[in-house]
Amino acid sequence: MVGQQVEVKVLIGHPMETGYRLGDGGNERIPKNIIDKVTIRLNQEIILQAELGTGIAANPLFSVFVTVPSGAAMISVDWEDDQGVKGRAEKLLVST
Amino acid sequence: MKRRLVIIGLILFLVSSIAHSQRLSGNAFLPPELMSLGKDEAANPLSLWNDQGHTIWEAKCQECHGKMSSLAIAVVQFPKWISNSTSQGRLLNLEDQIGVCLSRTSTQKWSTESNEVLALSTALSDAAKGQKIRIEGPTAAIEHQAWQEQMNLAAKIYVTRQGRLNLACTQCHDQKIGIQLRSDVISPAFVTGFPIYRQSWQTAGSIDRRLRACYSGVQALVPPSGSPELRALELFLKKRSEGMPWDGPSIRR
Repeated sequence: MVGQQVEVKVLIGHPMETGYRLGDGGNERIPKNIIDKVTIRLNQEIILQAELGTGIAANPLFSVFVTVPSGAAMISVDWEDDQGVKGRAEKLLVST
Repeated sequence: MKRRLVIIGLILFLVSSIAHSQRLSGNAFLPPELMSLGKDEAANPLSLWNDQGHTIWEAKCQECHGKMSSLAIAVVQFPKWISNSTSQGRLLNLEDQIGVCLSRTSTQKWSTESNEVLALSTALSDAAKGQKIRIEGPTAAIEHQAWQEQMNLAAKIYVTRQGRLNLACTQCHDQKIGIQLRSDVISPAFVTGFPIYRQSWQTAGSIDRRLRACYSGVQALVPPSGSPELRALELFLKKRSEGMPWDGPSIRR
């Protein structure tokens, strides 16, 4: 398993509001609220860093291919949106 | 030219005869990429709602209801006729029922599209996968009559032209099954997998919202969420789907 490539999928629940849509009343704009920054790390080492814009759909899905290192492999994901809300998830890769 | 027409006619006949002999769920009409997305737990956005639903279940529901799977049979029997001493009764769907349950422990007003309601509905719907849809009316004669009237009302709506496009449900969902409508293939109106994650909504939605989208699709006056006619239509469509296996939460374009 070590040295092999595995696909890691990261699904983030977020509305990704563009700021261009109107609310149900048709008058007020729904305020912009998008994830700016996503960082995926493998054992503290950055393997993906992305700056997202309004063109990304809600609940964005990221997929990265990771070469399984020898020893423990901890995948961590950090994201932050333009309102300062942060999210973090960690998962240990387990080879079977 | 004539031969081509015959072939097209034959294909149409085959599609319609398949639809009649063996009832196909809407999921059978999805393009392959959406079909595989629905099966990929890691990529399917509905797993966000499903996970949240399980968290809420453990915090609020488990104590009384026990395992989620214990309600699997109940999930496929909605909408249900609920009556009390003061009223003759009305139809409640799964999201309404979840809202009623959540109201017991909170003062918040719940709608069918509240995030928590959809999360629980998604998780319950997932737990009910494979159950056969069963729709039964109330046993008391007067109530049964009122229930039947709702069914008749919906059957009438289903075949009545409406909106600026002047279309009835039946014209597409019975007479044009298998035909392309823009990028989608028209499926028969069987209700076998809700809530849905509709990519054009960029979120999950209940059957209430889906039916309202049908009204706006034919440019008719859209009834407000929770309208009796929406519940009646759900009852009618579920009755048509009776006996079909429940697909669980589904993906739509």
